[in-house]
Amino acid sequence: MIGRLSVPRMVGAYALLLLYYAFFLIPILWIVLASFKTNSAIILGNIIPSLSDLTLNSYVDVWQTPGVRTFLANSVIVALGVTAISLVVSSLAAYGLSKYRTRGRRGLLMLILTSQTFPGVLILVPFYTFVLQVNLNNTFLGIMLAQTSGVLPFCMWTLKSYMDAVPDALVEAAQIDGCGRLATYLRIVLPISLPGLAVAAFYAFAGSWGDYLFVSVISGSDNTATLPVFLYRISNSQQMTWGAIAATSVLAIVPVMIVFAFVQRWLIEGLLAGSVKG
Amino acid sequence: MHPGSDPAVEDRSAAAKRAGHVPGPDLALTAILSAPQREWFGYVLALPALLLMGLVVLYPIVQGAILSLTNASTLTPGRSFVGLQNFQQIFADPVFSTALVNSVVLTGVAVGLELVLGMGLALLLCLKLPGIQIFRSITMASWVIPIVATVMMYSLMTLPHYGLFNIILDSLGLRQWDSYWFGNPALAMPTIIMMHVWRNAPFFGVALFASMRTIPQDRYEAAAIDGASAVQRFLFITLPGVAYVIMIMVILHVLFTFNNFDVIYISTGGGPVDTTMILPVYVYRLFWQNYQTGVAAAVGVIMMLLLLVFTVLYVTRVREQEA
Repeated sequence: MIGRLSVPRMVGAYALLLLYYAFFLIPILWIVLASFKTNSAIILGNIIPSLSDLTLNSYVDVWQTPGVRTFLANSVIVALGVTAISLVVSSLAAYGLSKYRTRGRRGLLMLILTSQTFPGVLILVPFYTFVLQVNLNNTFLGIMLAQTSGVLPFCMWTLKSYMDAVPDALVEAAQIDGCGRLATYLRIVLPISLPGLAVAAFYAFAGSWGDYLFVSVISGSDNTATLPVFLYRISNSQQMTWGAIAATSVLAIVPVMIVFAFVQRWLIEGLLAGSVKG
Repeated sequence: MHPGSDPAVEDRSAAAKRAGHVPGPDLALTAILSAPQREWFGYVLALPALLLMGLVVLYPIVQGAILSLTNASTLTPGRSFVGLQNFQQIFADPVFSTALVNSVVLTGVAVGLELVLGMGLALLLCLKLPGIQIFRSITMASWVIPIVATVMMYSLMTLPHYGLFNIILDSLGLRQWDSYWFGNPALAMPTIIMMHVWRNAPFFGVALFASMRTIPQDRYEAAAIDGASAVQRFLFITLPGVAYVIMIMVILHVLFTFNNFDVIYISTGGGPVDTTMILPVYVYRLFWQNYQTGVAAAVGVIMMLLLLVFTVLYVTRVREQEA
C-alpha cells in the first residue's frame, strides 16, 4: 500500500517492528531459557545465564514425575480425536450448507454461528449434570464432545467459505459423470478445500490441546486429564520447582508450535475465512 | 446450484428441442427428482453438526435458563421454582458488582488496546521491507500457545526479585514495585490485561493486514496525486476499507474476552481479595464451591443477556456480508 521507504523511515519501521516482536517473543524465550537453567540459576535473577547454569535436569525431572506420560498421552489422544471428529462433522455440514440449497439453510448457519458466542461457564453448569446422567464424566468421549462443540462453528465456517469457492458447475459436472454425492465430496470438493481443512484441523487441535475449563470439569481423574490440568496442578504444588514448571510449559508449547509451522502459510487466510468473512 | 436450473440438463433438453424431440421421460424425471433429493441431502450432511451443537450448546443453554429460575443445588436433590429470587440474591451480592465492573473494564481495555496495537502492527506488516515476510509468518505464535502455558510465562516473568519484569524494575530503581504481580492488588489486573493483549493483538494485526491488502492500490495512488497526506490516506482510504473487519474483530473479541475463564482462573483465581474477580470465575465459584446451581445459572443468564447486543450485531453483520 505504500511504495519505497526512505532510509530513516525504514530504520524507524524496523525499530517499531523490533519493539512489537520483543513484546511477543520475550515471554516465550524467557520460559524456554528457564527450562534449561538450573533452579539455583533461576533464582539468581540474571538475564543472561552462564554456561555452567544450563542443564537438562528440569526435563529429566518432569519426565520422571509420576503420571506425566499419561497426561501427555491423554492430551494427544483427545486432541487427535477432537481434530478427527471436528473435521468429519464440520466438513460434511459445510458441504451440505454450501452446495445444497437446503431450506432454512441461512437460519442453520446463523444458529451455528451464534452458538460460539455463549458463555462456556453457563453451558458447563447444565452440561455437567447431563454428562453425569449419561456416565460420560471422566471419559475421553465426554471431553471430546465438549471441546468439539467449542471449535465446530469456526471449523464449519472456514470450510464453508472454502467450499463456496468451489464452482457449482464442477460439482454438477462430477455428478453428471456418475460421481455419487459422497464421491463428489471426497474426490472433488475436499481436495480443493485442502487449505481450509488444514486450518480447521489446526484450530481444532490447538483448541483441544490448550483447553483447561472443559477438561477440568469433565475429567474427574488422572486417567483422562490432559497436560494443561497437570501444568496447572504442578504450578500450585509446593514440591515442583520453576525449572520443572518451565519445562512442562515448553512440553505443552512444542507440539502446537510444530503444527503451527506446517499450516502457517494458510493460517491467516483461513482464520479470516472462519471469523471475519463469514 | 439451483435445482431445475441444472445447466447440463437444460443444455441437453434444449438440444433435444432443437432436434425436434420432446425431452425424454428419463430427463424430466431426473429434473423432478433432483430438487427434493438435494434439499433433503443437505440436511443429512448437516445433521451430525446440528445434533452435536444442539446437545452440547443449545440444550444446556435452555436448561441453564430454566435452572436460573430454580433453587437447584448439587447438595440437595430436586428443585423448585423460585421465580427471580436468584437474581435478587445476585444483585444484593457485592462480589457480583465487583465481578461485573471487572469484566467490563477488562474487556473494554483489553479489546481497545488489541485494536490500537493490532492496527499499528498491520500498518507495519504492509510495508515493503526486506525480511517482512519473516515477521508476518511468526506473528500468530503467541495466539496458538495454550493459555495455561501463557500464564506460566507471565508468572515466571513477574516473580519477585528474579522475574524478568522485576529485574528490569529493580535496575530502573523502582524497587518498591518489585513483587509477585499476580499477587499484587495494583498489578494483577494490568498483568491480566497484558496477557490478553499479548495473545490477541497479533490476530487483530494479521486480520487488519489481510484486509488492508484487499484495498485497491490505485486509490492510494490517486489520493497521492491529489496531494493527500499519509494521515489523510489512512483516515479516508485505509480506515473505511477495513471498517468491516474492525467491527467483526471487536465484536468477536468482546464476546471471547468477556466469556473467558481460563486466563484469570489459572493466574489469580479472581484474587487477590477479588481484585480480578470476573463473572465467569464468579459462576464457577457459585457452582463448584457453593453448590448453588440455580444462582450460578442465573449469573450465566445475566452474562448472556449483557452480551446479547454483541451477539445480535455479530450475526446480523455476518448475515449482511453473506447475502
